[in-house]
Amino acid sequence: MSWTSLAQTVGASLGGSYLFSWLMAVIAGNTTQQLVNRTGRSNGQLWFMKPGILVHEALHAVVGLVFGLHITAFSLRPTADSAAHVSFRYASHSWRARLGLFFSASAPVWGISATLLLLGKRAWWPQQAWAAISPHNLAPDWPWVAGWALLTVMLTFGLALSHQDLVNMWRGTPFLVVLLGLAYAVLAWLAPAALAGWWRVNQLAGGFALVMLALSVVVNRLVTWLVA
Amino acid sequence: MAQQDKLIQRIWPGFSKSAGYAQLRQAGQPAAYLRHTAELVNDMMDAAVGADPKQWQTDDISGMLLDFLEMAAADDDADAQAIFEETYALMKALLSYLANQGEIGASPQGLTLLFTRFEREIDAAFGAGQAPGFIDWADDPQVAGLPQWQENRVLSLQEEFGEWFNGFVKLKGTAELVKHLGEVGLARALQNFVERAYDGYRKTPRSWSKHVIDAVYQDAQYHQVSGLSPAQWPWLGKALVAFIDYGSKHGFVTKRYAAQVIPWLKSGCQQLIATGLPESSPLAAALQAVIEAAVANGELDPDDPDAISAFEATLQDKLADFGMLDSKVSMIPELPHDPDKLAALVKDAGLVAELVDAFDTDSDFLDQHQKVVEGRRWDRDTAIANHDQALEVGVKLWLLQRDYPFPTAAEIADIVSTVTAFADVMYAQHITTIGAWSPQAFASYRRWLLGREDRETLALFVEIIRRTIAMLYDEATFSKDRARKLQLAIGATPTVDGQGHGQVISLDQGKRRLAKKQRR
Repeated sequence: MSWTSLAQTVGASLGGSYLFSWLMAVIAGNTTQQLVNRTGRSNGQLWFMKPGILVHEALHAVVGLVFGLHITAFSLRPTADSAAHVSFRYASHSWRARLGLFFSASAPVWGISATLLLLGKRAWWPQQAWAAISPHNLAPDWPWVAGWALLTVMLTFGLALSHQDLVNMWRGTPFLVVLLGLAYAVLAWLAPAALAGWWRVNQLAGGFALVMLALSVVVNRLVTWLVA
Repeated sequence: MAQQDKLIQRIWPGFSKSAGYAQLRQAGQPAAYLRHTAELVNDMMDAAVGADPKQWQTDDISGMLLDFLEMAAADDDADAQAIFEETYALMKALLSYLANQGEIGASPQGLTLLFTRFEREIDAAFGAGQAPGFIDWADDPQVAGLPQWQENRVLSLQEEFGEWFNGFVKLKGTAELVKHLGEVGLARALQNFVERAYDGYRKTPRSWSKHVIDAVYQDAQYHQVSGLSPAQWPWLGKALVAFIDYGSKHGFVTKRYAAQVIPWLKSGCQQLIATGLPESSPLAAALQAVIEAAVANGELDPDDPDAISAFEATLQDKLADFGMLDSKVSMIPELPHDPDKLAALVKDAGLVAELVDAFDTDSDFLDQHQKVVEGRRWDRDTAIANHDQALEVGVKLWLLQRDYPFPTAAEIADIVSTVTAFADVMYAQHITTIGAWSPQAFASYRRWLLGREDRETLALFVEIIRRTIAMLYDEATFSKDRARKLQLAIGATPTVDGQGHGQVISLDQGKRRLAKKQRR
């Protein structure tokens, strides 16, 4: 076992997830807060934030269901202390359910990111394979670009994970660590070459994360300029 | 306890020959029951005020009577009113006797006046369902002139104001007020408003009427002491709205009260309408535009303050919160419904820890606290440990519902958050951890809570804390005597049986036992 290899695989997957989620929570949270301050309304009361909130909650719920969590409440109606809410119950002795805590809690970040990246690829590089994408062969499909830009702005408001989301991610983390540790051990034993593939996947995910962070910063600056 | 026993023991021969006692016996009350109840009254006063009867003033007794009335009125038991009235008859006779003999601090005249006022409230509390916690003795309209000004009341108002303002001034939304008034200026304007309302009208913030707010707002003396310049004056309206709004969210005034007063503050007074929100705020513009449109369409009579108030209240509901709200995701482990299976899970340390994590959502408990209380110094690590212990106690109380059943359909979140919030307050304000909880701190909190919560909420709170104490007694955290005093101080019938060994009985069992004793 190499510590470098462990850091590039298990460490980068976990650390990257947390760093990306936290940065997104900070940037998207700031974007939302600026609009709330400007309008004097809560985000739950602003129509243009509703799609982001809907997708945010739906991703929590759908991913939770996939992992066997039982939804006991789901509402998009704002209350005194929440813009919307979803409640789960889970079998405490089920590994699947416990992994679901991590993935369901973090689902809005990677779910919305994946959606925007896929649509962005379709909008900007409709004819290119993923591996061939570069700034030199941009071929924007403008109607798609317009739709993608609108969606990017709207879904940005659903990217921010709450403090409770981060806590729930943390509660599922021990089981993910064990799972990733086992995967690492098995690969290191049976297919060491696959560890290099894992590291490449992490790098690719890091690249996508940087793109998403850049997009969020652009939306944030745009909002700052608009409300000034 | 020994001192209390001595008091009852000492006065009993004389009291049992008094006219008041004779009337009670003629009404059919058994001698043993009267003695038992007298000791219970003594326990309640001891828990709420102190063991020295000379300290028992009229105000303390009124607080105890209010607690008792509130508890009885909230009880669904068909016999509750009858039990209350019979017990009250003994309280009245006993306390009058003690006052006549000079055994307690309250004067016989003060007590007579108190009983007269109190008896007006009994039917109202049981019949009309009014929460007796809202009774303000000092503002009884039947008394000519104003009640006596009391220094201790002003001191307690000042202490409460400090706590209220310290939280209020930290709000992001208060920054705009601070910008225009300065923090010192804002504090001075609001504190003088609070004190002037008491000095001039004997009104505390939770009983400020619209008339009093208006009167203080126009009071020449307040204008002198407020420290507000003409340019700053218009900001007072917004400050009052925000201050009361914050107070309603943090238990200083009831939400019901705030819901009545805030729309009125914004709509009932022209000066406050104009200044309720900054002119630059899009919300203010929207609010004004909607009102003007409604007036123009003939939907709203501009000369009808009630209609405007109702209209504004509806608008306020729609524009309820200006803050950024998070989505809320709760993930709770599945728990069995069977009480025996649930109780068995107490031994599952992993699950208990998981439930504790799931319900540990309050991150504000370290924000506001006393620094030193009676030589005890606040400590961050202790506050966190106390909070964690409270979470665990709350979770265990839920799991052990077989042994400590809840009378209402309370959810696990209600139980855990109530126990935790209470333990946090006990440490923040009295610097006492769970094992060191004192009846005096409980009684102080109970008095603070009265009038701030509606009856159902208060009753549920008392039930939860009563069972918490019973469970902690069974875990040997408290002695029997301490547990009884704590339960009394929080306003509950003591359920730690004085005859048994660690036996815990329910409220209903206790009531039935009392009723049986009376009917013997």
